Amino acid sequence: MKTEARLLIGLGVFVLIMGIVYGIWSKELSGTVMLIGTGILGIFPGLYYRYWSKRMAGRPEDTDAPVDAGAGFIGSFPGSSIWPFVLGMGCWLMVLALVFGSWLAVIALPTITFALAGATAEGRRGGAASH
Amino acid sequence: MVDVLEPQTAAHDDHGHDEHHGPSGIMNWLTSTDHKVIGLNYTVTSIIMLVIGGAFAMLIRAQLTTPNGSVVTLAQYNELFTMHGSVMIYLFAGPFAFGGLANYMVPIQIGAPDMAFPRLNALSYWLYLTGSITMLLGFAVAGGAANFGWVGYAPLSDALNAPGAGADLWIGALLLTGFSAIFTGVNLVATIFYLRAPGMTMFRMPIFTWNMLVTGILILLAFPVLTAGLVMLYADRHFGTHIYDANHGGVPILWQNIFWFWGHPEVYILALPFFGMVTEIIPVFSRKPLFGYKGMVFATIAIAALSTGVWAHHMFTTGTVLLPFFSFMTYLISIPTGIKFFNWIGSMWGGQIRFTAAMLFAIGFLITFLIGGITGIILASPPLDFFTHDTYFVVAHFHSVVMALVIGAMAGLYYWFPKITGRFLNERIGKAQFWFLFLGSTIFTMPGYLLGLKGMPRRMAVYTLHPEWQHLNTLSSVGAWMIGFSTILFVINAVKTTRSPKTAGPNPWDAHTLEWFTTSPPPHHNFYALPNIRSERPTWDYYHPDAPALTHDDHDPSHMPNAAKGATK
Amino acid sequence: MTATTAPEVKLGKITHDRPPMLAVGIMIWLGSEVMFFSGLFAALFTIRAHIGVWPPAGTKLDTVQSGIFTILLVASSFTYQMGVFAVENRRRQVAKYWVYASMVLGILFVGNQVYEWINLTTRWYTNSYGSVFFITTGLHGLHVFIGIVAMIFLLGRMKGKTEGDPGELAAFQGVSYYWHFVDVVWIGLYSCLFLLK
Repeated sequence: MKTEARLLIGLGVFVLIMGIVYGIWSKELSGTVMLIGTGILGIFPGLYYRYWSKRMAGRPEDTDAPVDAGAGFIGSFPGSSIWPFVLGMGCWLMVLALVFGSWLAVIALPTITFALAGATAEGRRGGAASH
Repeated sequence: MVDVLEPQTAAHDDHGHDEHHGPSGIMNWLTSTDHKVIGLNYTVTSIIMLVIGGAFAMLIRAQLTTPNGSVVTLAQYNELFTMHGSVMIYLFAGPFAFGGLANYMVPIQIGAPDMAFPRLNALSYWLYLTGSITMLLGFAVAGGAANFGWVGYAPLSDALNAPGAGADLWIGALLLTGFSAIFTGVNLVATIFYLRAPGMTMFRMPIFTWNMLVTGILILLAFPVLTAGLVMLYADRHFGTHIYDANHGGVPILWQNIFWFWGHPEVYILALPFFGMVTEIIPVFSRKPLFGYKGMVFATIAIAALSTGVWAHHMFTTGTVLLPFFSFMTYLISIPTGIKFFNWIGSMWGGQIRFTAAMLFAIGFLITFLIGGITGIILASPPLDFFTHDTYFVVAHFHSVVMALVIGAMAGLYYWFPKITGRFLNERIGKAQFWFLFLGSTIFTMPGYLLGLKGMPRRMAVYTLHPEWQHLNTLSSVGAWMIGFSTILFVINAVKTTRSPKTAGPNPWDAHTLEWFTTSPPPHHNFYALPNIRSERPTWDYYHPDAPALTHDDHDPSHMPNAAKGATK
Repeated sequence: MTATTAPEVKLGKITHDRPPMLAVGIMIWLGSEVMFFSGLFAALFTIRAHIGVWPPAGTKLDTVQSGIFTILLVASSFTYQMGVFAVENRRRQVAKYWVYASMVLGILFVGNQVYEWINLTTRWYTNSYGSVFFITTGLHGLHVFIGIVAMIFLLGRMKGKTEGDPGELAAFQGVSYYWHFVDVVWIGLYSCLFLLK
């Protein structure tokens, strides 16, 4: 995880410095705020990965491991699930409700709830790649 | 090379997962969470969007062949250029790259069984498809589609100037495709961080995968900002808030800042995947390792880092931006791009180049993108930008860039088509298509630069006062129609190929990366077996054990690429 | 293909030998949420600089009342974290109570926000300050609401099981990262809207 952490923290620190320079120089606020946000976007997950990289041995994919080193359970990858489709249709109706009137939300919200419940039940049975 | 199973012969799935017994037919399409099915869905949908957006372009060019064109009305023309830009940027270029080919290839290139979150991946596709339909629905509602340009600048897109439902559908489509992009970005980054095969260290990943990782990070920093901007735009339109409303203490320029903070990283979100594709293609067809692997990776990261600090070069003429900062940053970003060009040429230098259709498209990409890049450097200079802002010079500049992306897309399709289907696209049609597309792009954009310098403004439907612009406009239209014809050739080629035999085999191009180790098309969960990964070219190492790739710190002259190349065949 | 990520069973406590895949994804996704709020904060600061007087004359905000509910939201982060510790130590029943406690605190916070929205004399259409206030607090409130819904689904996922399934701890932690994030965003938003004059 070390390289991953370095990549994100490096990007974040660079943009943060750029944001500070930009903010002091231009005194324009919206860009400064968004650049600082971008810095946080890099640094914050980066520190999380760094935290882990200090606490675990190098994974097989970080070293010269033979290809069978990784055999074992990494989570199950379902071949099919209807819930993404149902959820997608619910979200679509929700967006159409923004355009054509909120009555569509009456269909959209139950659809979304139904799809999320179905997906959660699938995860509970171990059908989703949730870990 | 111990512990390696023969590709294709190992009978069992070594990932410890169940064999796939999913539904078939339409239910498979609706329910599949396999990244290959989703990637293919994305690819096909985005190519349909390319054809639709291209048809809009043909109409626009037909309108402009005469100074007083009457192909469409002035109002229809506004809708056409808005929807042409929106369809091409939001619905074709991005989704084709990060949703289509990347979705298909990235997990295979790093030896993963699927994306990290397969159901989220499927949701991304459905949001993209429904977003595309939503955008095109604009033509079906009263008042027509959105007509304020693909950038939706604030006073033009408010409730007063764009009262129709078309503008709301445009906002809704961007929300849907925006979330689709964010989910794909999360998936790409998590997959690359978490699901690499043993031995596949970060600095052994194929450059395409590296570029998609950086693209994923750029998606995550860019798209949410646009979403926030769109939510405020919608609130302004419907709830009477005053965020962009200058009459009540709002700031219209805020939209431009937010939009381009998304918009400039977006340019690199569009470009980086195609950089990655040609970086895969050029070394393979030059029979050489990639020149400067680490330089390529750092150039990609540098482009991403710098691309966050250049957004306001789209806003030089607003008079509210810090010109020296943005001009300097924009010049700076040309350096990593230059490194990439240097490495691409270095990869071809002294190689045994095979001029397949894919290679031709890759070279065409380099030339066309170089023209677009160099005119971009011209525009990065504020005095020159003041002179050419909102003219056809700018239009020609970014069309050189995006036509390069279309050529790059074709390179990727011709290169990976055998892997995806097991069949070769016809090379003769491919080469004909290349010349029409490449020459068409050049003939289409070059008159635009001249027209821009003469002062022709963009987004105008008639130029009655300047009939002398007609010749160059007609030439430009001829180029556009050549591009249109090349697309027809591609569709013919793809349809024709569905009847040809599956002759590709696992590794038809004698390529380098892991996707060429598995069968064509790959099985469910992608691999029956994997080789040991000791370099960024695992498949090459497997097929050519006598000519291993150099490690990055190996400076022993007896291992120079030429010596290695001489040892094979 | 890669090493095991199933939680290792040691005596009592569940630990991971690497971050769960869900956590890796959620952290990177929260990065994108940071950018979403950056866009909103960009609008807030731009308009603040533009109108000069912040908040405009005539705006009546109850800093103390909102401050109390801010403390409640921060407290809910702590209660949820207690739940995470409980799940790690295999005390799933206790963990559920901590989730209920966090939900109640979250609902109280949203309830106060609704009360505030109804009683504020400055409306979203009054001036650009009102627009910023309603949009930012509204979208933050939506995030709190989504967090509460996520907790309901989490409880549904845990229901009727005596033993956690392999993905349960990761899901529990995933919601916790989101909840802490929403909390931190509110502290920023509260400071900018109520405290910063």
